[in-house]
Amino acid sequence: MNYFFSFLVLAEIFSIVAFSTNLLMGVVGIFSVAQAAIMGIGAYTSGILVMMGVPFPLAVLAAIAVCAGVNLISSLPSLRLAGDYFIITSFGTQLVATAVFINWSSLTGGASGLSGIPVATMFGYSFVTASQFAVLSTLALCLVALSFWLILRSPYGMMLNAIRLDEIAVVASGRKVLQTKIGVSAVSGAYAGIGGALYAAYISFIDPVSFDIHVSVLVVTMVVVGGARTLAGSIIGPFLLLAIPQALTLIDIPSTLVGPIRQLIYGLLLIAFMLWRPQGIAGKSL
Amino acid sequence: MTYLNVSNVNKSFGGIRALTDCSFSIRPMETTCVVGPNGAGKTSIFNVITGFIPADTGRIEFKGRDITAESRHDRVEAGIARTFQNLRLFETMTLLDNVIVCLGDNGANDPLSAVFRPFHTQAVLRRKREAAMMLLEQVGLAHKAGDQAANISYGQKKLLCIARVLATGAELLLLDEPTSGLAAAALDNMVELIHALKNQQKTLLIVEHNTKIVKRIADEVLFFHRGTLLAKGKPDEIIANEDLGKIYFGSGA
Repeated sequence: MNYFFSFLVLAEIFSIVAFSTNLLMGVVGIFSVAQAAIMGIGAYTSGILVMMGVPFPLAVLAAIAVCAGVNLISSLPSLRLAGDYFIITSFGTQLVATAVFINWSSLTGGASGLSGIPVATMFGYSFVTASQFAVLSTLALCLVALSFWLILRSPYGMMLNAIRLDEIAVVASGRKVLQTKIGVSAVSGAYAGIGGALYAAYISFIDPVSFDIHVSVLVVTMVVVGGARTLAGSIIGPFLLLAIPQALTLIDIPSTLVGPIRQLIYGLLLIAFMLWRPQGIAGKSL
Repeated sequence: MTYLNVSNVNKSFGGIRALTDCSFSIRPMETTCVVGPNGAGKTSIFNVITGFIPADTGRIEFKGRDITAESRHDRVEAGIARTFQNLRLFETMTLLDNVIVCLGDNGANDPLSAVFRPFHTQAVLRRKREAAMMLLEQVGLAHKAGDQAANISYGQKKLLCIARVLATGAELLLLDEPTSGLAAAALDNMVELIHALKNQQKTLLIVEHNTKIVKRIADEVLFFHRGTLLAKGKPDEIIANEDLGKIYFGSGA
C-alpha cells in the first residue's frame, strides 16, 4: 500500500509541474524546456529554508515567490523571440540552473546534493509517511488544478489562447501582450515552485540530477502525451509516464537496463504522439 | 485641429522605398479610400499609422496628439484600430470568443482576479459576452456566435473582422481590403455595413481596389503609387482622371 501511495505522491507532484508547463507551452505557446530547473529552484529554496528552521508553509510561499520571479525573468526573451528560438533560450536557462545547483556547493551541497531535509509539518500535523503526504500533495494538486481551470475559463485565459493562435492580432486589438505574458510566466513559475517544495519535503533528498534537462524533457513529454491545454491531460500524462518504470519492475530484465529502456520508451512515446496524436490523450483535435 | 494628420512620412526596407514623403490628413466621420496598384504603399501606410512598422522619418498626429513614437496598444487606446488583409482570426476559437478577446473592456484581464475573484470574473465575462453578442448582431453573425471561426464562410470571416475591430472601441477604423474576394451579395452586405459604421460616427480609412465600390463608399480618395501620394480628391475626380487610370490599370502599352 505504501508503494501505491509513494507512486501517487510523485505523480501528483509531477502533475503540478505539468500544469506549469502546460500553461506556458500548451496554452500560450511559450515552449520551455526549463521547467525542471524552475522546480529545482523551488525545491532548493524550500529545502534550504526548512533546514534553517523556517516553518514549512513559509518555505513553500518563499519557493512560490522565488520561482515566479525566476520563471518570469527566464521567460522574458520569449517576449521578443518567436517560438522556436525560445526553446534554445530555455535550454540555456536549464543548463545555467544545473550548473548553479552543482557549483554553489556551500548552499546546495554541490553534486552530492542536500540530504536530511526535515519532513513537512503544517498546523501541528507532520506528513511523514507516503499516505500522510498524499493528503498534502492531493490538496496541492487540487488547488493548482482549480486555479488552472479558473484561469482558462476567464477572459484572461481567452487572451492566453488568442496569443498562441495569433499574437499580432491580439496586439492589433489593443491588448497588452507583454503584461499578459509576464503574468502567465509568474503563475507558471509559482506552480513549479509548489511542485519543487513538495518534492524536497517528500523525498527529503535533492540533488542536481533530480532537476536536470532529462526531467524537463520528461515533463514536456507528460504534457504532450496527456494533452496540451487540458486539465485532464496535465494529470493523465504524469500518472501514465511515471507508471512505466513501475511496470518495468514487473518484467524480468537486468536492473542495468531498466534506466535506458525507460528513456527509450519516453522518447518513442514523445515521437509517436507528436506524429499521430499531437493533441495528446485528453486533447481536443487541433 | 485636424483629425488624423500624417506629415512627411518616409519608410524604406533596405533599398526599397515603401513610402516617400507622404503627407495627408483625413477628416472625422468621413470615409477615405486608399487606392493604387500593387506595391503602391497602401498597407505600409496602414502599418505606419497603427505602429506595426516605425516610420523612418515624419510625424503622425491623431486629434492633436503626436502618436509617432507610441506603442501599438496605446494607439488603439487613443482610438485607432485596424483589420488585416489576411484576416488574422483566432481560427479555433468561437466567433464570440474572437470578439471578446478584442473588447476594449479591460475588466478581469489578469490571473489574480481569475483565481481569487472567480465570481467577479464570471460576472465580467457575462458582461463581455453580451457586448460581444451585440457586435456580432450588428455585423449579422449572431446566429453563428458559437461556431468556430475556421468553419464560417470567407464573407462571414470578413464580417467577423469588422466585429473585432469595433470591439476595440476605436473611432478611427483602418480596414485593409474589406471587400476583396467577396461575391456580389456579400459585397453589397459589406458596403451597407460600411455605410452603417459611418452613420455611427466612425471615421474610416479603407484600402479598396474596386473603383465601383470606391464610388459607393468614399468621401475622399488617396491615390498612392510607388510609395508616394500622387493625388487626393473626390472619388469622381480621381476615377475620371485618365493619367491615374493608366497607372492603375496599366497603359496597355
